[in-house]
Amino acid sequence: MGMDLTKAMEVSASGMYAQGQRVKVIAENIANSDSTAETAGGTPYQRKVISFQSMLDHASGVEKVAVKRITNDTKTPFGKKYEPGNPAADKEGYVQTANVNPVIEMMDMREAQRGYEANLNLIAMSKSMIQRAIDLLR
Amino acid sequence: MDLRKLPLFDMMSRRLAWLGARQQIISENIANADTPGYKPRDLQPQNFRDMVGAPAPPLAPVTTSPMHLAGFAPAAAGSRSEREKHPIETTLSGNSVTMEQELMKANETSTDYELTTNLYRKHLAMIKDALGHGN
Repeated sequence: MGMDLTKAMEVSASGMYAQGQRVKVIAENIANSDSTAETAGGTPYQRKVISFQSMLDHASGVEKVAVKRITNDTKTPFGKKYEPGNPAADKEGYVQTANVNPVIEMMDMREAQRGYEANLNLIAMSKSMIQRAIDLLR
Repeated sequence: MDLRKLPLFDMMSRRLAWLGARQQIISENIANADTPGYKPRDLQPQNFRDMVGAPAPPLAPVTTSPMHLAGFAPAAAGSRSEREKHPIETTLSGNSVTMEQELMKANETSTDYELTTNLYRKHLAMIKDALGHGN
């Protein structure tokens, strides 16, 4: 009986880890939102996207969550601004900027935060259930 | 004295096992709330007839040859998990976990667990009373 609850806590912990990885990727994107190319006319920082997958943990028989892969977002186009003095500017004087939209990143971060909190709450809940079972000994 | 021989205590411990198994499944649903294509699952509700009737022994794999591997015994008796039949919404990625619904279920499970453990304690106190050194 206590085993199921311990497993429940393990699953929630895997959820928290995955959401933590997601926040890490979002932080990379926001930190690099102004990173331009190293060479003149080159491509700037490309935003990264993370995707999850459910994974059956064979040792405990529960379905945990894991990071499937972290890929570059090739769908969103780069921005462009006129700045001839910039070392990354091309011949016409345009600089390509990273395809990071702070609003989208913030939204994504909120979602990750919400998921993290939900998992954390569930751990607290499972823990108090185990505690109540232990209290039967008193 | 084996408390599990008393039907009430047996029923309550089976209830606790069921609630624990359900909490585990809810945890899986919430952990996978952002996994593309994930469909939430839930346990079949406990049946009153099964609760009061003789508990069906869980079917466990038997090793009939030394070459066989020992299998897993099923988690809790009568706890089959199945996919949520009526998901509230499905996102574009094919995920149909609704966080609010899952948290409601988790709360429900936690409250039921508390109720059952309290009942257990009360009945134990009653037996202790009968023994003459109750609290």
